[in-house]
Amino acid sequence: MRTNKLNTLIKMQIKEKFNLSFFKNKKQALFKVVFSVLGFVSVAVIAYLILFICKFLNLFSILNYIPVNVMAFVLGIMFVINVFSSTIILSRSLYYSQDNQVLITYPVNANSIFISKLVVHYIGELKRTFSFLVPVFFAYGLISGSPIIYYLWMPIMFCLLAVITVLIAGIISIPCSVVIRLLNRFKILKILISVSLLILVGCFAFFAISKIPADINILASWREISIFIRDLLSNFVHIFNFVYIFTIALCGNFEGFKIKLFSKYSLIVPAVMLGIIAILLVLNFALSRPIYLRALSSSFEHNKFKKREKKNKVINSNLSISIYEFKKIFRQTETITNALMIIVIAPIAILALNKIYGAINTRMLGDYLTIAFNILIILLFALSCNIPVSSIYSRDGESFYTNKAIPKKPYQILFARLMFNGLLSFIVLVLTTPIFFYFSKLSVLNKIVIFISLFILSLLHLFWTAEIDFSNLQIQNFHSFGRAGINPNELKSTILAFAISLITFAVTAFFLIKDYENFYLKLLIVSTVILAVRIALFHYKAKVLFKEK
Amino acid sequence: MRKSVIFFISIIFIISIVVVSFFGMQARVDQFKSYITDVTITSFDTTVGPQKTKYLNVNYEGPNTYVTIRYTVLPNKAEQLNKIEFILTNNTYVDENGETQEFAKINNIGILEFYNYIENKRTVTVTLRSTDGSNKRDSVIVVLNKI
Repeated sequence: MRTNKLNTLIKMQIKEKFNLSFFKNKKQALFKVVFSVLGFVSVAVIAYLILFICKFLNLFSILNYIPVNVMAFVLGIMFVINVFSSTIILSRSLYYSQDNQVLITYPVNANSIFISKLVVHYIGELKRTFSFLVPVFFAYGLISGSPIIYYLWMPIMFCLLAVITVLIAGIISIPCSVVIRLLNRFKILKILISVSLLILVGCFAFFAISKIPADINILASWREISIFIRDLLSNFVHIFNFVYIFTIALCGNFEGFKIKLFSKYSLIVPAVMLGIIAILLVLNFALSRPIYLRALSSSFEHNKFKKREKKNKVINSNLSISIYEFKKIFRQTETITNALMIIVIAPIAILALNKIYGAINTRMLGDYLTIAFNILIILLFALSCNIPVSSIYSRDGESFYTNKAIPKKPYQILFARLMFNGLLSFIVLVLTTPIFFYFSKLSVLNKIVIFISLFILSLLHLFWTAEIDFSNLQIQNFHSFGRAGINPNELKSTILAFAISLITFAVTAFFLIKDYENFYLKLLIVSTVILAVRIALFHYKAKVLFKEK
Repeated sequence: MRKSVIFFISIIFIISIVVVSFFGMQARVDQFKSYITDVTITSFDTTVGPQKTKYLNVNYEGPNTYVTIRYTVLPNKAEQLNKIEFILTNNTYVDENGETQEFAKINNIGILEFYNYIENKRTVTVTLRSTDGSNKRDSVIVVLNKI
């Protein structure tokens, strides 16, 4: 009976978190499978290319192969990142998810809710592992000539590793939830800590950038670079020996030039992992059992809603919609945090990039490439601000259609929601382009034209992404809790962002090298024309979709 | 920003630096030239004075007395041997007839030969220098003692 209740809980949450409606439709199921395989293959191909180039250049070893300590390094870094992100996601899911208010009313005990959340998170973690780590190690197997059994052995080991990740995150989420509650209670503390962290990151970044040497010559100092990287890997493996042993158990080790998959570690490591899993499971229950129910209910019970008595002011209806949308956004901590993150990271990245370019003694081709790459990376940052717009209308869930009742024109209602992201892109461009222009030898006119072109391209992506969302509302995904598992619109928007950036880069590099006259002006004209077309399409589709039938 | 977006931007960041370094760098004529950084004569008995002038004592055993002047060149690469030369100074004397006589010579691998009859104690200065433009040099004063 208890197992049935647990199964029901798990199935319910899986259905909410992962959109499994494609199972009912053969065509959709086929599309989903093909898409997943394509994603896997893309990551594997990119990883294979990178490893192949490193092997060709003898970057990691004077002998022509990729040693296991390289994959140990990758695995170590990814494990820490996964534990960190799992802790944050699990803390929110276990203690602050909106569905807790519903789950706690069901005839199940707190332990069942706890287990179900861990299981659902584990499935999500497996999905993330199979979309990145597994294809990367798949590529490593191909490049190292691993035996066929490796491709069955490796996913099994990663399944075990994902369990350990989730269980560690489960333990750390307990003190993490206390910290989150404290920060939610004392908002000023949250702001102070966030600002302090941002300042710390900024200072560290500037310190690191100041250490960039004045003269970089990768070709001449290739030997020193390779030795530095090999020493770094060697030290990493020496300090984090357990990661290295796990990687040997996972990938095998080279004997001469041939990789030997199974060794003594192949038995010891899985046994130790199972032991660790058992200990972590016991710890999770022992630590959470006395406090979980109380923590679960106190996260939403006794919520005090401060009501401020304010006099109603009459303002312009267009301004009213915009102010309303801005207020909604500023109440979403996640959105503001993401925005601040981009505003801090983007200028630092562009400064570091241009400092490195400045240290390289470039010829004319190099100067053109630095301009093209600057445009590419600045665009990537600016367009990534627009990706959240891919769910800006879907997030309303089933209440989206109440927007029809607002006595405003459809495009005005839809447009008001885009202002924040448009403003964010503009701020990112204002912070990054002056850094790029400072290091470049462009004329003042060209600088102005480039800035306007980049802003127009970011608006183009913004309107296109918004159109993708309201043409294909993902209401089912967002219908109850305002959160979705996978959003195909977000994927399309991400691909579009990369496509626009890469096409602009390719066109810029090509025409600069060919020395076309007034190229920047032509780029501005073409991007303006495309933007005008997209705005017209946005306006037209908004009218059509909002029409009463 | 999603993890995947940050990851791809980081990859493009690194690729851009590598591409500009490999394809956009100005090639220098001496880019791959390896200059001599140090030449040191290791055949010496004592050093004298603040300048640490090297002295090597050799017993003259008659004509065809050979001395090997040992040295080290950094970086220690095979091709560096073509970029050094030995210079011998003070290897002449004026005889009773007023003619200049040479009594020693050195070849390009550091074999110093005293081939002429010498009556008195003599000194020659052996200088080892680089010829690749790095202007590195070292010297030793060979003191020839008649037994």
